[in-house]
Amino acid sequence: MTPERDYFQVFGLARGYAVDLAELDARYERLSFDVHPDFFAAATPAEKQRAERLAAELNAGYRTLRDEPERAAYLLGLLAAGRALDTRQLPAGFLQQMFALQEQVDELEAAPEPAAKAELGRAVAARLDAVRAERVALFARALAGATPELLQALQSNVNCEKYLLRLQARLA
Amino acid sequence: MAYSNKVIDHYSNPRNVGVLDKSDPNVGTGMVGAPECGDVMKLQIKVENDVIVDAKFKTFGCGSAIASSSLATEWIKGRTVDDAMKIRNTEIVQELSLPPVKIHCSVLAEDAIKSAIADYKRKHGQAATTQQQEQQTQQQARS
Repeated sequence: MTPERDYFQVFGLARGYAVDLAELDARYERLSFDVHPDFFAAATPAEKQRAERLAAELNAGYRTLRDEPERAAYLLGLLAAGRALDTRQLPAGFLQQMFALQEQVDELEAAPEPAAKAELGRAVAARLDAVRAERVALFARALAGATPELLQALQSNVNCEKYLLRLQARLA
Repeated sequence: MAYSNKVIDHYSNPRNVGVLDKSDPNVGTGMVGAPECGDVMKLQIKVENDVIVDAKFKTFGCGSAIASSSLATEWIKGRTVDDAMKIRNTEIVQELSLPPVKIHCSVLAEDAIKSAIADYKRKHGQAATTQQQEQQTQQQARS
């Protein structure tokens, strides 16, 4: 099944990185109601199938747009429109930094130091904030005109977040 | 998800965890990551007379990533550099019975070997162009 519309269109939202979550929730609820199986008990098999397809599309779209990293990856995919990106690219030295931070977490697990752990947690959170702020700016520019450089910078940005989230999960 | 016995064996008893002296001219260090999950893997080789005499790794990742890198160090020890370049992620998948969602872990291990060898070759002033080209071709073939 090739989707004829993207998830932003499914929910009637403007294509962009910023999504009003309350609005998304409200639209999801209303649209889900319209395709609820209870209303299709007496429907023809074709109608039932159509409602099921729409419900599946709504659920997938809601999950994707509700979650920031997923939304970012999805929007990047839309903007890239089949153009090949280097999906592993990271800023120079980033992996080495992540490795060093992971080792620090190891040390803190071996010899717990709550103050140091809290400080590391704050440092990781600050980096995540910086990555997300950069992303907002990059998407704003890419939506105005998606150059290969901007798309690749966004891919790199999305990648960074994964490593930082992984680190944050260990510090939680 | 159930891990295979071999994955559990490598995960609970990883081979060759450790560090080699990065500044040793005979040591090549590879650092790679999997953006799919945020795994980070460091793999180091020590080469004497073109043979990998020692290998160490440290992986921050899931059981499959740790097992893949542990197995990779076992396999490359005693091989020539050229021979080690021939190890394919599909062999790791097969040996560890990795499920499709964990294939990227084996890709990471293969890339770590190549990255360590490339670093070693850089230190020895050997052009790694052909390897890079080969790697690109493989990446295209895998995706």
